[in-house]
Amino acid sequence: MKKYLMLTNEEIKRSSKLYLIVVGALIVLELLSVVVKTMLYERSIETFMRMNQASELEAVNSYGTFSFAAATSIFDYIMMIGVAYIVVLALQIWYREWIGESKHIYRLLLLPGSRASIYFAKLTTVLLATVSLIGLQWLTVVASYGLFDWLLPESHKFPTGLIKSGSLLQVFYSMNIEDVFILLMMSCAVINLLFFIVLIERTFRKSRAMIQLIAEAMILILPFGLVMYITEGPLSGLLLRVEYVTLYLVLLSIGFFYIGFRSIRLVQNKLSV
Amino acid sequence: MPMQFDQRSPVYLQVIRWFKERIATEELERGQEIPSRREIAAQLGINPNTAQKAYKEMEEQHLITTERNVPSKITTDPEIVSKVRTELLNEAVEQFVHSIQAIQVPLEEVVTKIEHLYETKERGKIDA
Amino acid sequence: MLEVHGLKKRFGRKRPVLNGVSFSIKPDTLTCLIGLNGEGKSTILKGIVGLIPMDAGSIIVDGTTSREKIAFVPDVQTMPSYMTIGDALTYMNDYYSDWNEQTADELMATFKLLSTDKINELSKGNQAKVNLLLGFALDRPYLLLDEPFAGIDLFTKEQIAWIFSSHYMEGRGILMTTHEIVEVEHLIDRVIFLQDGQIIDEHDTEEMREIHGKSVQDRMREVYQR
Repeated sequence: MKKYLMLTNEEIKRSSKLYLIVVGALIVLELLSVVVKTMLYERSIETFMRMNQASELEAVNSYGTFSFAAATSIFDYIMMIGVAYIVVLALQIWYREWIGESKHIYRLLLLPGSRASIYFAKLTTVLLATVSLIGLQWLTVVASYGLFDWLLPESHKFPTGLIKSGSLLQVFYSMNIEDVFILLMMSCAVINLLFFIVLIERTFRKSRAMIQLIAEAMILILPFGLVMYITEGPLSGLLLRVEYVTLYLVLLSIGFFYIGFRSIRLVQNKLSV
Repeated sequence: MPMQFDQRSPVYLQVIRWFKERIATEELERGQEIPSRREIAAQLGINPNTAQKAYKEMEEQHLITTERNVPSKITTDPEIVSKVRTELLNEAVEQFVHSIQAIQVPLEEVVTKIEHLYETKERGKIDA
Repeated sequence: MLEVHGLKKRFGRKRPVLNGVSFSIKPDTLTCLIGLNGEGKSTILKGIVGLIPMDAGSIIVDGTTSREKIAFVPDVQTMPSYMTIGDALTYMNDYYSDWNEQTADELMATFKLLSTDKINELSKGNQAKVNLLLGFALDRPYLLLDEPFAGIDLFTKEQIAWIFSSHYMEGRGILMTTHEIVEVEHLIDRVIFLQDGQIIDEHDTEEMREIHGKSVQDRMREVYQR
């Protein structure tokens, strides 16, 4: 346990610089974009008024009101960058041990105690980065709305529906505990998978790694496919919809844990310098 | 200061020789304390095991005496010291004769040469 | 005693690098593992210490299979590049219960290293000294050194060789690989020769000199130039 905590602390320290830069930049970009877009809208209204000799009310009626969705239109793209960063982090957190003049992987594998802590420390770090990123994004959305509200006169605001539905943004804004939980589970699964791929690549030589990956993919997909085939073919209609969903969730969980255990086993027994 | 070693002959014997030379010239006097095994290892740049082996052998040859918790000392026995001198002298002479015989110089010439060189060196020592 | 039994390792589908390597390291001796380039010396050391998993074979350390009595001095830097020497010492102290701070401080002074120096800015010689320090400051009876003299200057070599004539040797069984046999021959107690994935010859160096009048280099020529 102590080793795990110390390792996690070390991993966080090593990743914090990049994390702060990226996340900071994202937040600044988002807030800036809201301000800029709102100001541009205001400018357009003024221009319209001047050009057409219209009153404010007429201008707003003709030109249209400004919605929060419009103000935050680039948020989806910026959040994508955030996702990309997490993916890069999940890969880099392993590869940095081999790359460069110093091979920290030697030191990690030589440390007394269980090797599984190495895996868990890195997993924890990436998950923490993910969770805090999500949290900060949520705060940014809230803050953006505050900015939007403050900068824009009431009459200019688009009256209903703050956000266009189906965007990432909506997910964030209407966040509740269940959503956070699901998001976390999904992130965990993706990170788990990324770790697994990295560890396979690091453990097996090139061609063998590819073969290994394909084999693992088969092990995972085959039962899944089989169940799908059975339940939608000969046994269709046997289960209620909610039972289907539960079944798939169970299968996915099994797959998830399988990948997790395989990764840990690789770190414990097969990982080589 | 670290020694240069002949790698084809046992290091511990070379260490013993180092001591013998200094015993013969009385650079190490009878009864004088010598460095501990650890110290001599660091001083000569040898493995402490080798120092250990050398000291053990020297003790068996009665060149040094060792008591518990007390630094080792050179023997106080004057006979041993003179034995060492003789031993080294014999070795040197043997080697010399061996190399001289290889070039087949007559004995008289050899002896004259030795006397001459010896005197020159002695004079050199007085002048210095 | 550190016993190595039947180590086997193959990389890919080529001939095995190690094909049943067995030998022992006694406490209080300095043993040198000799072999030509690429013969697998480094693989053996890393196999003993768990950095490269072996296909077969076992290690027995003083009757147990635990590796916690073995310290390893690699030929590469192993600390994250941002660390100073002081950070590295703290790191070792945190993770290892058998870290000896006093030994570490003594060696820092002897090697004239500053704890504020960043490790990746050090010269190769100083990096080698740091690695040596990190190994010797662990109170472990067995120590493996992978090419401690590789690519460093004469004076640093002397400093490092000094440690083999110091009291830090006492109570340790050390296994070393090196190509710089000339400079350290006189310090070695035992040599073992590796060829074609197996140990083909072993000698007590002093015996070899006394009985056969051969140096380690002489024997090397005999073994490898057949």
